[in-house]
Amino acid sequence: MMFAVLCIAFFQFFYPYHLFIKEQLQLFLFTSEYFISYLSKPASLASYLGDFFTQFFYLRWGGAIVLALLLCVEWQLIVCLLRKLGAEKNVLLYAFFPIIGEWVLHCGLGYSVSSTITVILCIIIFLLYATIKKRFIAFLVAILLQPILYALLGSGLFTFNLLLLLTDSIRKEKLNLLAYVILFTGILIPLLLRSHYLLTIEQAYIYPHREFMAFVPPLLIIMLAGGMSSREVRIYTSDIRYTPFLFGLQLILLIGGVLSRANFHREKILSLDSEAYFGNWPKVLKQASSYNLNDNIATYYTNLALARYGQLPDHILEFYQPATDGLFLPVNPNASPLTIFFSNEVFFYLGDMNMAQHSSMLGMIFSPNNRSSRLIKRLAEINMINGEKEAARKYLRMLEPTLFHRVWAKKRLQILDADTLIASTDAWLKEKRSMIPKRDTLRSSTDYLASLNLLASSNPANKMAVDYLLCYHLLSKDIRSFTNAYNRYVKDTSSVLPRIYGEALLISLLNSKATDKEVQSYGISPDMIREFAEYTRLYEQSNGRGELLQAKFGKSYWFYFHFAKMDTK
Amino acid sequence: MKQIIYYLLLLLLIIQSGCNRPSEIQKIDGMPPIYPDYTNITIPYNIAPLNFLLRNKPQSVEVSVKGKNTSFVVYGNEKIQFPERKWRSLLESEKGNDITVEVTVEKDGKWYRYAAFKWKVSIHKIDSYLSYRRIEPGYEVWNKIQICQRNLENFSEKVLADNNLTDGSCMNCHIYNQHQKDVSLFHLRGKKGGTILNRNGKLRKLNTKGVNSFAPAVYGAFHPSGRFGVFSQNTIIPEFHAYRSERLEVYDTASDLVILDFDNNSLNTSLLVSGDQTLETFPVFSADGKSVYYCAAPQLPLPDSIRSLRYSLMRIDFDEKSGKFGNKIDTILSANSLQQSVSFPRVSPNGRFLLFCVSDYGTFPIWHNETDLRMLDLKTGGVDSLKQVNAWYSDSYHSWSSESRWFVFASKRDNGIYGKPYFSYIDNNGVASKPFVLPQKDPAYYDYTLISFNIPELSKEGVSFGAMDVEDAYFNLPTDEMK
Repeated sequence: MMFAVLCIAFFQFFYPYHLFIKEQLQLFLFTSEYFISYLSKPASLASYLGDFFTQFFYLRWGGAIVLALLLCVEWQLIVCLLRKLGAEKNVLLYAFFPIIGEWVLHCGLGYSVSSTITVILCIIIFLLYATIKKRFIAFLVAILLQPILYALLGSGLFTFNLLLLLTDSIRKEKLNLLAYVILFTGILIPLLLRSHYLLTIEQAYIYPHREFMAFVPPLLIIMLAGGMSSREVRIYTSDIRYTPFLFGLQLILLIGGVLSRANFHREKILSLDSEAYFGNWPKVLKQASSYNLNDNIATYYTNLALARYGQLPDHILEFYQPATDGLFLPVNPNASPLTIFFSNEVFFYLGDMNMAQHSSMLGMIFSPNNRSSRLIKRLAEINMINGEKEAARKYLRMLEPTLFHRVWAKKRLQILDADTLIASTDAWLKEKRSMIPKRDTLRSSTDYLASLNLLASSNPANKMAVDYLLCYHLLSKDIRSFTNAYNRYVKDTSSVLPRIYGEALLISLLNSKATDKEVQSYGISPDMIREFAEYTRLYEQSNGRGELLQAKFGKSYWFYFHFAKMDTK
Repeated sequence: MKQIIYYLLLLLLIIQSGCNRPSEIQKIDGMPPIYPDYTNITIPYNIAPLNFLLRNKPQSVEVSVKGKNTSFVVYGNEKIQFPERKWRSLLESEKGNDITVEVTVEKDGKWYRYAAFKWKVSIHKIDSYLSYRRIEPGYEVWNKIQICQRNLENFSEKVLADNNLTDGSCMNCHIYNQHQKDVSLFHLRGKKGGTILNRNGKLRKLNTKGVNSFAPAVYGAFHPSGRFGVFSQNTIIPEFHAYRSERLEVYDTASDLVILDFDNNSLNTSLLVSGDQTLETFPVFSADGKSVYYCAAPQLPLPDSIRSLRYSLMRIDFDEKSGKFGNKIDTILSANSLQQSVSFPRVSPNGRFLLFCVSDYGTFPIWHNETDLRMLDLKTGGVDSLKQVNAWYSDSYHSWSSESRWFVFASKRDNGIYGKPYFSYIDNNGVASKPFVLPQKDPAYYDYTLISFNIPELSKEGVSFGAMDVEDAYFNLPTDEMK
């Protein structure tokens, strides 16, 4: 009970966002076609059940509770297994070692619920198998089970076989020929079935796992089973004097394992991302301010949140800015799958639906199973905005047989049915459609400036696009382009002059030796002009040493302009 | 005895009451809302069952299928899946006849019968196999690609190549010679890739980028003899549109034609079909192998002039003895006259027709919504606009059956994003029929797939190699260099 509470508390209060993203990176459908698709790879049952449980990670508390429950079930099963082998005292404690492994592994993005389910199912099947009394029949059943187990559990087959051989060797002094046949068959089966499942050799042996570390819990189970099968070891381990030591050791292993495996930096990034996905932009801003991370993805979401409130130019330099990599996430062959997954957001909010679609497609393509509930929702939205009803309908239909996205899909199908491209009755659709470009151009997928220029020129009232354009120039230190864009889209509007624009304009006006009248036409405050004069004086005195200016002007654009180092790669 | 009869009758009553049968049926004038749309089509007698579902989600469905010689009734909820054996015997017995299909549905406790539609069973069978590439429509990048071969007479599918086994490399079209399984090829990119040539089940890996070439082979076709292949070599640039449903644009900054001699491992070209002034692409041999049809456009500053880039349909002679291009080029269809751009010419095996795509501009019709198919009658020179075949969204990449009676093409008519193979019949008068989509065992399959079917090609028999052979070829086969 206490374990369950601790497990839930950890994953809910300290590590929930790693669980949210796992649900977003998959799509679970209650259809026969979807179920059948699992048969094309080994570990079909484990994978299907694993993905079934993962869908509950969508709910707040859902992931934590599901994980805790599964680990409790696994723990109990290990206890049953060890008791069957003769263990009596301290069984609960010893059985906890593989659970520590599971807990630690679940702190990584690469370890899935399917891996835990593989272990659970393996133990259940083994315990059932162990009820067969006649040895010869048991071996025959085991041989017949080999391909079935591989089909259902994948690499769980090896755990089953090792448990079988272990328990058999306990009963008899030496293994007979049939035991070796089982061992050999188990090793061969993945190779023999590789051509059926179209897997590489490595994949054939580790499926459904994605990393070799996933073998740690089953290995620990085998080691425990092996140990407990020895009378001497059982006597030794049942000594309750060792209990506090065991308990302490496990605590150290758990804490140490979590600290080494869990990535709390990434957890913060994922929190920004997930809260943005959930639409909690005030929370995104609040978290960004408190985290104050030097990370381009953190900056990406911070900038998005600021821009959504029209505050990007006011506060952009209060946060870490890796040049323009905090405005758009570069998608290239070296980009991580998560970066690709997040890359569509900025385009969607700016109004460039075609690039948002391209990025969403890429994000889905590079998801572990090439399916993502979140990106399918995004693609549905994009196509609704673009007026591509049938494409939107396809994606919305895909969400209908899901547990947690069907209501969302149904509502949008109703909007779709009521919508005409010209006169949408839905305010959200109307607003989004007003932002999309009104004319066409051709650009490469990484030509962000082409995208921004097109958005701004199509709809100068798209403040977010205009701010992104201006800030893009500023972060690239392209003062001339900034000034041209500012003059075109912002000057002579009634908006209050944001600080960073004023600071940049002063640089531009100084460079162009502007007259007083020209300076006044921008509405720059006298205080700012005085500060600029002071900065300029100090800069000239500093001989290029930024530390003299950092304290007073570290957050100014002037400081960025002079001292921020651009990555030339 | 009486007791036995009584219990049997009781059992029958119970069974009968368990099965919902239509009663008090109201007639509806319109067509049933079935998906896929299999209403009023011509089908080959060897096609797999045309399973479909009802979009209006009824509680029960009854479908009666009536031919001259055979008829039966099938029941379902939302989906109708015809028993394969009954289906095969239906089509066998109804060759040349019409089958009338009537759909009756139960919705909200009431029964409705839609207007009947017909399936015309052609006496001409379609080639039994269809190969295609399964790929996510991710524009310029990919992750998982397979080249598959589907038996059109049932639902079995074989994977010919899977890029999971070849370093995640890209794979291009799988093309056959004369629809035969014994000679085919496809391009396998990647570090250890090459053009995989299949001859009688034996695979060879070719480097089709010659010493003086700027790119390896891309689009191409076999000579009827199987000895030669004609290919384009293209430098391909993908870029993105900004406006609404126009997504991807792909253009060539350079493209030329080459002849590959598979027996001598040699490559040659001609100044007439290579060079900087003109872009040549999509070559294909005529049915008699004496000429090559291809598309050509004058080189323009790109991408600025992309909307002015239009390809004409051209022909150049081919001399089989020397394996070289001839000296004369003919313009078959001028882009200036058409005010459209031609792509993907494909000649029917009987030499009568040439199918091609037209789009407003450019050379990548698959992402142009306005792309349509056209059919040129090589005897009369007339162009059929194929109104009954084309639909909204792109209809492109077509291939003929061996008897020139059927053609398959990739269409995005459902939603503009995901392509599927569609089949159309050519009757004795050269008129094409309403197309129908490749049937699937589960009719909801297309609703839930996120994969496009790309580059469909028909063949009479299934190839003998599979994905593991291709894996072996990728990693272990030495590459034959072209001279």
